[in-house]
Amino acid sequence: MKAKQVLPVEVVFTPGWWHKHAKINFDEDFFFNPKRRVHDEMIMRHFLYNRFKIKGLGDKHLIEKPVIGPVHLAAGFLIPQLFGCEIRFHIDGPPDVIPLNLTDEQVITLEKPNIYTTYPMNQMINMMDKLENEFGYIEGDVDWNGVLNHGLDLRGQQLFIDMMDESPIIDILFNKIYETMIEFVSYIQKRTGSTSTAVNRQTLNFDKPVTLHSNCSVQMISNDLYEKYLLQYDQKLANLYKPYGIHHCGDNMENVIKGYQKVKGATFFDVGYGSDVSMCRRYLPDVFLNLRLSPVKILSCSPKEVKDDILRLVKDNGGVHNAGICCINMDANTPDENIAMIYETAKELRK
Amino acid sequence: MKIAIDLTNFNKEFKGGKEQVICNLITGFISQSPQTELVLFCYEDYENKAKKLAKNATIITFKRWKIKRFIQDMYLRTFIIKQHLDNVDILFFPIYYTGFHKFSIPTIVLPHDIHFKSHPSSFGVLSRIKENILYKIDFSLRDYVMAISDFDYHEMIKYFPAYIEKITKIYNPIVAPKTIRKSKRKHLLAINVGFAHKNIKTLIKAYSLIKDQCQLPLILIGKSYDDVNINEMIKNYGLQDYITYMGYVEDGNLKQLFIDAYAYITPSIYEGFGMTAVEAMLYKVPVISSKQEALVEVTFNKATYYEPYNDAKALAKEILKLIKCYPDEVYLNNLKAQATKIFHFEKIAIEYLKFFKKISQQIIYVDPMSYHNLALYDHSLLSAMSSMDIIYVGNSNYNLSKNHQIKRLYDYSRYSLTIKKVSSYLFSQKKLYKLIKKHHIKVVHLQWSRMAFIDYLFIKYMKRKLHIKFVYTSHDTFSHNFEQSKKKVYLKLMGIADRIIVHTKTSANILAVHGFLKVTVINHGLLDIKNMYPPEPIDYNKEKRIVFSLLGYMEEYKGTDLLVKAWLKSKKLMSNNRIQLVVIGKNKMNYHPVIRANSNIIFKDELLNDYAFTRWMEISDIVVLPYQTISQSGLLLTALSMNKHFVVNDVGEIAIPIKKYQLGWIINEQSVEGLQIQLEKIVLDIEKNGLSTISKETLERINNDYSWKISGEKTMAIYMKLLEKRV
Repeated sequence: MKAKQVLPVEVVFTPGWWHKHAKINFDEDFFFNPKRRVHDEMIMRHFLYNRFKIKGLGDKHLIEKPVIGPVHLAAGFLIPQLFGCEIRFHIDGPPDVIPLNLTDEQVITLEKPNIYTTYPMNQMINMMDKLENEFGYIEGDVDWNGVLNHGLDLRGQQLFIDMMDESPIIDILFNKIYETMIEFVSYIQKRTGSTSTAVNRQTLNFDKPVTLHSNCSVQMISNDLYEKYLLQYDQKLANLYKPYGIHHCGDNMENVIKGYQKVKGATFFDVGYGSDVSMCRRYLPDVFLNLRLSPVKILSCSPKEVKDDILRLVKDNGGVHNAGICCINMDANTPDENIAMIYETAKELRK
Repeated sequence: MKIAIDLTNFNKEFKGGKEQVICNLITGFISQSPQTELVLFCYEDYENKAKKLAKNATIITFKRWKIKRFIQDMYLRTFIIKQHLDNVDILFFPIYYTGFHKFSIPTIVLPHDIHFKSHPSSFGVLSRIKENILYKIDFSLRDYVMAISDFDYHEMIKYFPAYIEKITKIYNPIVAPKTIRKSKRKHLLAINVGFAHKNIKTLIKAYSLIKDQCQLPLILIGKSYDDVNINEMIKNYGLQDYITYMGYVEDGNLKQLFIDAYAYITPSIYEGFGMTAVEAMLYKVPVISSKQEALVEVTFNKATYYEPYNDAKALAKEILKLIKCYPDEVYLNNLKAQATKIFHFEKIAIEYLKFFKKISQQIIYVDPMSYHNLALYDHSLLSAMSSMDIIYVGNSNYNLSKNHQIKRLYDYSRYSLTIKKVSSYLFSQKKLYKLIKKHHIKVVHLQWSRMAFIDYLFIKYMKRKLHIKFVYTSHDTFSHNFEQSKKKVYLKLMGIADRIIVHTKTSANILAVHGFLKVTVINHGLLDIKNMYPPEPIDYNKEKRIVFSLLGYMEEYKGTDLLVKAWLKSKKLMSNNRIQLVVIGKNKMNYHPVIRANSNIIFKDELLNDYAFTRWMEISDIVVLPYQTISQSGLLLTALSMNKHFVVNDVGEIAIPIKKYQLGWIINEQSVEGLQIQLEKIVLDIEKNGLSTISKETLERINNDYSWKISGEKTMAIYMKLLEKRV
């Protein structure tokens, strides 16, 4: 896996930011209406370019692209919806997944959904067909999230008690999620060629797009629990998809670093802000570390602090090589000069 | 607020939706804000309508030329209107083609849509060239451009990306009618059919397919503007017995036709808003619509839709479907409620007024040194003035979590070389000038001038060029050991201020001696550092000692040297292991004491970060302020917020709160020996009687007396006064 550029940078804003500044509405149509998909994504790219005038951020020209999933925000609701979770859409926020809080019996009898006929995937496929007919091709993908995240969507907080009780329910549930996920991801990959643009656009900055599995909730468990229940899925995914990466947005990646080290074939890691980057680098000497900035801090800090943060992260990484910078889910009032500073600092560091 | 509106686009004849929008808006302004003064520009043939619309408005009329009307319109907007803008805050153009003049007050244009960009093929070459040039001029010369829907907003940023920052979306205002339906719903209705983009041909074709099945006549309304021959179309399809084309219909009749409608149909190709569809919802009439442009947005995705827009069969199918499954009254009521909530003319008028207020009351608050305590000062004062729209300009080092949308223009502090600092400061002032010009700023409030001479020249220039009013807050300008030359520069700067704010009466008196009378005393509020800079852990074990402290920059005028010398000189103090003296801060004195490691003095020559400062403050029991000269002290106001005891020299006004609330000891010592004796006495007193507890009542009184709320109100009153006096 080879990065197209030294220290690539990506930024992602919250729906609140988009709604406030570009009047984008994140209702259901934003995700499933083919016309809206193409139009809104075009507006978002064009808006980004015109607001920041930064090379690589957005499009100067108005070009319609048949993008099947949101490229400029994080929203991993589709798989839980396939399992029956209620989704609440907001015009200025990401969709909410309402947990099912399944009982033991419900987990056991839970059926793996038919991804081709179950709503909303059937609607999604319909949209993909329409776009493909119109443009002759389709691109992009849909956030497929991760095993533990979906486990929480379906089982709720009981999942943690299950882990402590060593309940067999966990494997039953995780297996069903995993099977659904790989069917879904493989289908999308077959049609568009990518899997994880919607998880983190950084995955596109390589000679071959990375498949990125979201371990957002792994920050809530210990390394022992990770190795016992989740490592196997990361390993299976890493065997299936190459190059493979793990998204860890928690502020404590060092806690599970020993487990992550055991995932053979994982070559990309999202490192949550607050994690011990030098320790992560020590344990994972040859992988690409995508160093995340804090969207909370960047909301109020000065550009100088943004720069200092990046310099510190890069220093902890041991330099600019095999590393990227990103800041995901920045809120509506994030100062523009802080965004500009991310790109400026990366540019300086590349020299 | 005084709003001028250019109505020279309109005449006796009703100009459709665009005229309706401005009429609704003016009605909303009058009902929601009767104190708003309106100045309406119009031709004589519109005067009666304008009087009817706003009887108390100042109406300025122009005689219409018989020929070259367009040239006259542009001439008026370029050369004449500007002569009638005395004391006007806002100039609003409710339609495009706003002339070629850049006004000195904020101007807003409402272009309604940019149809010629979205559907260029509907326009001839010449018309496209004309529209392109004149719209570009509108977007460039006007300060703000209104979009009437999210769709319209997207179109504008698509085709005029250079003006993104100028574009604001506010929906069109609609008057919600009372709908008492006595008769039966009896016809299908379409309005504004006389424009090519309304695509009435598709509707007539669709109707011809189902005329017998639907058993409802179709009524078409609207004057024909483009090359659309509706009668001929009706004739071609042989629908003369089924379709009635009524042309222009007066308001009252139109209302009845709406009320009686079974369904409203809009097959439009292009809509920046879709006013008639919204009106139909307000009349509780189901809408059948194409999915074009803003139509889905303004009908909340809850109408009956067909696509593509030119597919007559699809439209016919949807009409029949609606007849089969007609929405119930509850559904229609809910839609009306939703539309009323979003588009009601009074609500939209309020949104406009808020927007106008925001852009017309432009005040800029400048603090080139907005870091540490000064940032906290800005934050506290700006929070107390949050009801006002104030642009905050500060230093790139501002790091509080609440940023008040700060524009960090000042960056000089990152350079150590004076020449670089000055260049950077000049560059920042240039940016500030641009910002002030762009936003038509009327009041500039400067706190803590960093380079007073540059500020003086710059403000003077702006006063002459941009006619701004200048407020300067003098923080202890003459209390410190200022050099005479520096003092002169500050005097010059204050000399051009329209109002000077000081924090104490003493400062006001000093300024009065220098001949400054436009001075207002506004209390400095308490600096609540604990909330803003939570304490960070420190390697210090207090045990049961009583800690005396003097934190922050060490300077002679603060008496830092006196304090340390007095303590070192006193055997009683030095040998007492139940007390401790803490002096930490960057040493700016010529005095560099040598302190033994095991003594009861902690003396650190280092810059304290904000979080460590909070921790040391927490640790302190008694804050010692042996100032030799001062009017008010930030350290005192910080310590007051943390319920500390004090030892203060009676200079300036720092002893006032100590006396008033009995928070410690007031001394008056300028010598080491004197201070030594006083400190020994105080320690003896404490050891004998202990430190008193500050009562809840006292704390409340302190909070009330040093309230930011009052400081904010007083500062806002100054701004308002200056805004009133503006020429």
